[in-house]
Amino acid sequence: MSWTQIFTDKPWLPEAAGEVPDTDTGKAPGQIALRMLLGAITILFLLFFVTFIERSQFQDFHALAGEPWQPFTDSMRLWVNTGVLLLASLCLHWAVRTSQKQQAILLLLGGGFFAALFVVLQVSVWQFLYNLGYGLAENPANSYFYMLTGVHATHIIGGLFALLLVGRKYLAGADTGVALRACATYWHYLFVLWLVLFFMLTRTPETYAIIAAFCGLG
Amino acid sequence: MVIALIILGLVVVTIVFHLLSPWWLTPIASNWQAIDTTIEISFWVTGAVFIAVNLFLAWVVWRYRKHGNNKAHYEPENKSLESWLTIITTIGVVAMLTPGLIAWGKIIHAPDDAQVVEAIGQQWQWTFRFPGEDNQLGGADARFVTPENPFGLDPDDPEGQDDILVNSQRLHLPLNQPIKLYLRSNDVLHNFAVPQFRVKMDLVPGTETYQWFEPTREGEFDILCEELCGLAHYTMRGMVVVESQENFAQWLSEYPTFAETQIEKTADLAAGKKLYGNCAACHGADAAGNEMLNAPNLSILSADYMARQLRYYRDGIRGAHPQDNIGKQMVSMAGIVSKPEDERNLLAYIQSLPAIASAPTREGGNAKAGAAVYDVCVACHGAEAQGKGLLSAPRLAGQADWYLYRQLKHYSMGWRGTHPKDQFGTQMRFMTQTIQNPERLDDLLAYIATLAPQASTELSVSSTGDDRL
Amino acid sequence: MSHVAIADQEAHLHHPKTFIGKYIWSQDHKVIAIQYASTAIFVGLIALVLSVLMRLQLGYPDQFDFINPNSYLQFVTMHGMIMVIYLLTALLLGGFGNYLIPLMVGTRDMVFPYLNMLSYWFYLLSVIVLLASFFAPGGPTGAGWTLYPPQAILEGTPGVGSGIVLMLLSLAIFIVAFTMGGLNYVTTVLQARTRGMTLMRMPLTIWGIFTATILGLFAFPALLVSAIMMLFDTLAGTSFFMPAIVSLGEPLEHEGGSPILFQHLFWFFGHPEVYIVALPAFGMISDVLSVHARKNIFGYRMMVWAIVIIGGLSFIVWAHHMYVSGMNPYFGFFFATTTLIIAVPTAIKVYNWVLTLWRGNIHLTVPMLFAIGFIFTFTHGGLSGLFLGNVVIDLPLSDTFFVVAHFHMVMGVSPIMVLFAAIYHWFPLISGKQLHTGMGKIHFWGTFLGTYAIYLPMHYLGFLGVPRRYYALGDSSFMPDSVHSMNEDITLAAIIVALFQLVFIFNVIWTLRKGPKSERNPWGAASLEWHTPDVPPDQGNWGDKLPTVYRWAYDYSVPGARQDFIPQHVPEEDVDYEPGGRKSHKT
Repeated sequence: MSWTQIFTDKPWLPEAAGEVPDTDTGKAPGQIALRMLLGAITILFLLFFVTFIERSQFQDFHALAGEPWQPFTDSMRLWVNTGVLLLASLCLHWAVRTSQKQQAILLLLGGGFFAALFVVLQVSVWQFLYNLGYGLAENPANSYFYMLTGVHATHIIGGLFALLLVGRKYLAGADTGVALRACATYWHYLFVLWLVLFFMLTRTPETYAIIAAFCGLG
Repeated sequence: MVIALIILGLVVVTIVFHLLSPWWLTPIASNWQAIDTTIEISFWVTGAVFIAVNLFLAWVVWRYRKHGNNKAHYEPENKSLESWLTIITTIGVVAMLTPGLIAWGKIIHAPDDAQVVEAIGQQWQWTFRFPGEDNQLGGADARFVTPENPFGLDPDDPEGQDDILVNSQRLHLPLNQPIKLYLRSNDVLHNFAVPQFRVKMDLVPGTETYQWFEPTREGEFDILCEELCGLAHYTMRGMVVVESQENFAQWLSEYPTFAETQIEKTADLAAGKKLYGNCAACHGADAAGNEMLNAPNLSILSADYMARQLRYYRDGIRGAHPQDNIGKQMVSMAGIVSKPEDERNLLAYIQSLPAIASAPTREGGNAKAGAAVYDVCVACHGAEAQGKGLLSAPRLAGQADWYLYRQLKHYSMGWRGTHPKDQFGTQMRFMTQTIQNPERLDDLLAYIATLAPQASTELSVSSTGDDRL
Repeated sequence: MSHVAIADQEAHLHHPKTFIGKYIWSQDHKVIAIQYASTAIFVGLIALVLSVLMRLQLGYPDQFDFINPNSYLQFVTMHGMIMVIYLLTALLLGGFGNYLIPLMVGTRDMVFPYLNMLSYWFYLLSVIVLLASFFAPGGPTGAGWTLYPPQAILEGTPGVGSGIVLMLLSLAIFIVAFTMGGLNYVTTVLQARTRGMTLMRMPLTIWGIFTATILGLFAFPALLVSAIMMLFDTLAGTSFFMPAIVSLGEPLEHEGGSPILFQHLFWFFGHPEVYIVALPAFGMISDVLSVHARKNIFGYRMMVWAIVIIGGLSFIVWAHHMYVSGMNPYFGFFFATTTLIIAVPTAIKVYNWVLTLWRGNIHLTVPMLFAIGFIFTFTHGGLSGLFLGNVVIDLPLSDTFFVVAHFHMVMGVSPIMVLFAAIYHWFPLISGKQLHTGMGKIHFWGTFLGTYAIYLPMHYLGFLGVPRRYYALGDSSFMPDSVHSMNEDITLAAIIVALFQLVFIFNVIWTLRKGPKSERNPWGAASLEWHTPDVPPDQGNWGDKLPTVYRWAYDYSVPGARQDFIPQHVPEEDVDYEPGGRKSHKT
């Protein structure tokens, strides 16, 4: 049934009384819930980005890339981290598709391991920045970098807990098809989110000005 | 049944209350009649809906209440009725919105010939700035604020040099002259609101906002801060005085330009010492005060504070209450230094004396309980009661407790702080009310006494920063 | 996987044997609902006491030595925050949402019972963190419930050290709790409805809760963003919201931040929050009115559309809280227009409530009294909103007592009327006992008339220009002495209203202990929740077999039927029609 049909339905009509229409949507509740959750997380980050772009247009904002001496003009470290998170995502991608339990377990472990490794590597990026003198409160650009990567890492850690729970059930032999697929979707989502973060946090001042103008925040 | 009558009754009560209530918009004193008109239109529209809906509700409840074997009507929807109601509602909304938006269009565009004025808010006081001859306000920012430059003007901006600084909570404005009021805050959000002018706008630190209006009636109107700005939010009061162009010009000419306030003035300590001979009889050669003669400890006070008090004595702002005999003595003494350089020399000399803390004389207060009373004083007078120059809050630690007692009494009795030109009088009167009773006053003084170093010891004298002694 | 399988999955349900398993670590939506509700009512009572304390200061300034400007602001702040978030949001969604959704859509439990349980425990944790701030050094924050920076995190505002941090942490935890619960409510409504329960057959209660939950899921992130950024500002010294400041004589390290940015974030959450509270209330009151007037809700489709449209519009009106904030003044045109547009669907809801009563068979029961009271208070509060939404009128009125009166009429009194209507209405279902009618009526009259006595005069104090959040008014030339005596009277009325709530508490305790057993469907309601095999419903709600739904939730006084209601799960052939069968009616 289309949405217009649903909303223009007249449920009181005598003809309708007594009918038992099919209300099946054919989707698992886990999928719906996950979509809502990802929607909420998307809004969370979207709002962070809006404030970020607006803040980037203030005079005291010094972007982390652009000039040769700035830390992310060469962002090799972050590319390495990206690779690690991609591996995590791929592991879960294959884990839900393989039919062999042994292989699936190995891939699940891999997905968890690489995700955890990514968090550790992100912490090492913080140390790298800090040692360069880019402290948390020195500049709003730094503050945003620490905060957004921190919030992203928190989401990964939350995901690791979920994966742990699902993995335990899977080992115990329970039917975890939907839950595992949800984990995989979540992993892919966090990977894409990281790409967006990576892009947003390492632009030059000129790019920020363009984005801000484009969003009407300039 | 009863509920139908009560709803009917409430509608009647509401209408009667509306008609008889003594509280209504204060008589307008600006050009924003359009706001009042929009309110009136809204009253007619919403009033009609309120009466119609509730009378219908009361009738329906009475008419269709359960009685006998009556049965409800079965009517799932009535499209034409609902459409009509929607259309009528929309018309009502448009009737209210249109005059509102038209007026808003005027409110956000200040006319080009408007007189530019700036109001500066800081916790919890108002000051003002006029642009001077060039009609341009110079740049300003919280980062420039120093004890010598409390308004935070950019010292290098040529446009700011002739700006006139009004270090007072009273803003005079000329009648029938459009005013574009820029708003700037050095600390938190504030809001400049004058009920009679109708318009209001927040002061936002880090940026400048504005409002404009044209005063259309002479008189004195309260300025209220209407954005929560901390514990003494409610004491952040000022006054707008609307007067003729001539009186306004006369008033404005009394205030210095920024450049004038930045001139370093030298003082002659020898001349000051000579002048102090007049004071020494009561306040003592060491300026540490004398309880027998009701003379407070001056050695711990800042020159700015003493200068303000001397001016208040001279101008009848302090010590003018008919029963304040001690105050009257100071009124005549303050006249001795009515020449600015005399005053400067005298105060420089007092400043050069070592600060000496007075010994506590009062007993019976519970210092621990007093700490809770001091809770509301700490923001301005400091955790150590050291005073804060930028906030014009005098040092309390080391001051004679009998003197503090008397001043707090005077504030609460209205002997001090009631004069409209007393810049911090309203605030201190509000604050003394939080003491509430004599026991708490004793506690408070006992607590302040614990903040002072032991009696008659020398305090370290520093002449910089907030605790300028 | 089909919905029926989901709704009827026995494997989902655990059947705890021990007391702790059944009442503490319970995954049963009904127990969780009661846990949510009792916690919310408990903190709500604290907030009620706080409001009386602040009224004492306003009515009798400087008479009580435990109230000073600091503690006054702390009372104001905590009262507001607790009432809006920890009472109303938690009670309407966590309490009634949890209890009613599975019963009204015909499922055995929420789709994720474990998550549901976690939701409650996180909520409890947030409440504990919030209450802990009362015992923290410096006490709770006194920044106003809007927590505007820079003030909220600077000296000169009470609770600046730990109070504000605990407040922000508590909010963050609450948001996590809400998200866990919210995912459950939405998914359960979308996926676990029983056979025949189409979306347009759902009671409006479910529509209201469902839409409000979606609003919550998408609006609370804004609050989380602002809370996280403010935590960084206060703990790590960053400058997200903090410009260069000289705070009480001390220059600070901050530079360049934007306080208005916080306000946008806060109200992007804050305005939908109004409807997160209002929409479930709209839904529940519709059902109460319909049941007790023995008549279908008037214009059901219009009511559903209005809920959805109001929900959607609520995301584009937020800056009407910021007309005088110093934002770009051109926003005023847009937000005034959207705000007044939202009045149209809201007005339609009011009309339809009254038209539901029209030609009904009105049983003046206690829930019905509260419902009629709600129509009155909500009409009043809604109409005063048209003043504040119209940008130019907001100039003289913003931050005066008019604002206080307005939002207490719409967001305080009105939802409270609905909550009481709902409690009196569903109490027999929840406990198997009916609250005492006499005490209920006393409670109603005290609350209804008392609150109007509080808030009607407040509007006029606002017109005069009396500012809100003032510890003391002092004397101003424009405030006559009558303002001060009115403040005394308002305080008296507030104390009386608070005392009348004791009648309610006594009624609940008395009824639970001594009250007679009620009939299983005392109001003759047609919606599913009253038709479980056991009342109160047992674990799993529906015994062996889930109900099948054959009609909408509002078949009251159907022409031709002998009974004045036909339950949703009764098939057409089982309906007891008079000879001639179902008569048609105009549509």
